[in-house]
Amino acid sequence: MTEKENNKKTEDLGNYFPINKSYIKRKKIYNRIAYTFAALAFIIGAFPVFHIIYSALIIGYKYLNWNFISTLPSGFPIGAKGGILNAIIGDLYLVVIASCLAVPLGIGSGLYLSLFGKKRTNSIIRLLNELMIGIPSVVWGIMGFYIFSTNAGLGFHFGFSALAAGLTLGFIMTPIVTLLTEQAVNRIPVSYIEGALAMGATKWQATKSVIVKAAMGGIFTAVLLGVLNIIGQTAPLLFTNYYNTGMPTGVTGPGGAVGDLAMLIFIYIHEPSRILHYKAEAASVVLLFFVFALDIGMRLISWVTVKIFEML
Amino acid sequence: MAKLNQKLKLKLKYKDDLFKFILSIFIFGIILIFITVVAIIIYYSYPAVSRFGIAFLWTKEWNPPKEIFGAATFIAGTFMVTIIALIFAIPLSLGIGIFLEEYCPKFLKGFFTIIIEILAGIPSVIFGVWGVLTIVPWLRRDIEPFFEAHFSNIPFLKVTENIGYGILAASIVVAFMVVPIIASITKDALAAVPKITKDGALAMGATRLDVIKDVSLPFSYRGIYGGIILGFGRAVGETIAVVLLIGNQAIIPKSIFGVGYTISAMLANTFTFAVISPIYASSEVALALILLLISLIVNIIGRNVLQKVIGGKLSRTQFGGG
Repeated sequence: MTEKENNKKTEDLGNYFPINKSYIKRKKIYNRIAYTFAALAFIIGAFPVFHIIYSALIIGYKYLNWNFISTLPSGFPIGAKGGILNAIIGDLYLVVIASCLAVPLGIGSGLYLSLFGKKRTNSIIRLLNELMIGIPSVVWGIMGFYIFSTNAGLGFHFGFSALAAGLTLGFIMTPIVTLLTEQAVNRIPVSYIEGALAMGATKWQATKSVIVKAAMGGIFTAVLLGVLNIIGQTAPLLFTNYYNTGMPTGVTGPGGAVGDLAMLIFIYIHEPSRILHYKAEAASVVLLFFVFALDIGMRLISWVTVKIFEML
Repeated sequence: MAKLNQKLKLKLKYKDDLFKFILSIFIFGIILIFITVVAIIIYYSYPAVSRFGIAFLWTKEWNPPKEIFGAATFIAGTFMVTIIALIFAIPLSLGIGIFLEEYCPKFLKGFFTIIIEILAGIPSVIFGVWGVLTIVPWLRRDIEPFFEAHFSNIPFLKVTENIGYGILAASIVVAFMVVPIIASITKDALAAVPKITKDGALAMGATRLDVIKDVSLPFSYRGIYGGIILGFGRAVGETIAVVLLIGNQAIIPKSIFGVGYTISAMLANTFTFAVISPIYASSEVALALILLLISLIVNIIGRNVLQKVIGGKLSRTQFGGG
């Protein structure tokens, strides 16, 4: 290779890699700008979390005391005096009824999807399940109205009641529990299950003695996330339960309606009364407290189970 | 020995079959729930669908006394809110996803991710209250007078009534509700990029920005599309926050500051009055059928797109709120 050719090659390389300082500087500045924009996006996205908590606390704090939680609403307009006991009790009713439907159904289906079934059928069921997660809550509400609440035509004729609303919420909760239970069982190391099966255990024995124990944390997480999801639902309650300022006398028929925190906030914020707006914010603090408590409980459980797996 | 175990084996097999049978009853329950919701909506919307036909979609009038029903106003409102919300949410959540996956210091990553997941868990009624007491006064006091003074000639930005409520207020709040969905899927899609390709680019002297632009985004853009599609599905069905913020008037809004009505808000406000008249109720259920079909189609597409990228694993931000 002559020297001339060699020089030409170096020039070409110089064209491909223009190593000069201003170019590098410009690149670095662009990178900084991108960093700033990404961080700014995160700050804007995280802002509502803090501002929602802050604004709810700053308005609602003077109503937050034991009385607010332990008395029924009274006064005129109703709620101007008293607290939100009806809503807390009502939420308890709804969560228990919904869980009675969704927990066995969801856990059972999740176990089936990860243990049994042909690949093709399972993928169809999985598809239906994930589609149900995407269905808007108003549509669930209308379905709940026609199945449980309506007094005419087909259906169970429960009236606007805790049972109707609870079962509708159970329908919303089931696909979530199913999906997360399946994921929890799939996360168990295959060697555990295969080890049990290789020892001659049937699937029932393997489930009873290995899978349920190993996936316990994941299944708890699934149930808590389901409860977290239904505790904030308002739209289905508009069609199946509405609201009750007192205590329910039963779970069906007239007098079967219960109060609900989300409904209470929704109704109070509609009223043209400043004191009710403040009480709505105070009730939001209580609802947010429940939501965050469930959230933290869920994270603790999954964190602990991960730690236990690491130790094993 | 073998004989002795025969009885036990039979018993175990019997138990195992029973176990499988019970679980298949549960799985049948899942299928039943899905069929129930689709069947109920189709069955009760059938009178309206057969009477108005496909013209239901573009008839503007909604007049219960005359029994003329058309969904055009509500469809227009729904799509305006959804699209404006996505215009806000997409750049924001892309930024968040990129920040969390590429730029964020490692020790803060977990904490910052939790903040975005908490945003997904906040109930929609609380978002609505926050919108009424924070966003609406802000729009009324600061934003709308500013636009009235400077941009009143531009058709979509004209301020007709300076009240704060309207499409924009609803869109801003809905945007914050879909941000966690798109952001977390963007983050997962970016995390699925093989580390070795990123490290290769960095070793060649590329900046982080070059890596994102030329390696990560080309690799993960399908996942981001999937996230946007799922976010669209969530925004279309959003109810309670929209009811509180949109102004609830059955007119097709001419400006983003105008008031309007969405399908879900209409259902939440009027469905329980509608049941006295069969055709009125049926028209309302036909509105719900539109929502149901949109959500099913959008979720099938979004799921198929995501299946190829992150193995179809929905992250936990998909549920929550309501």
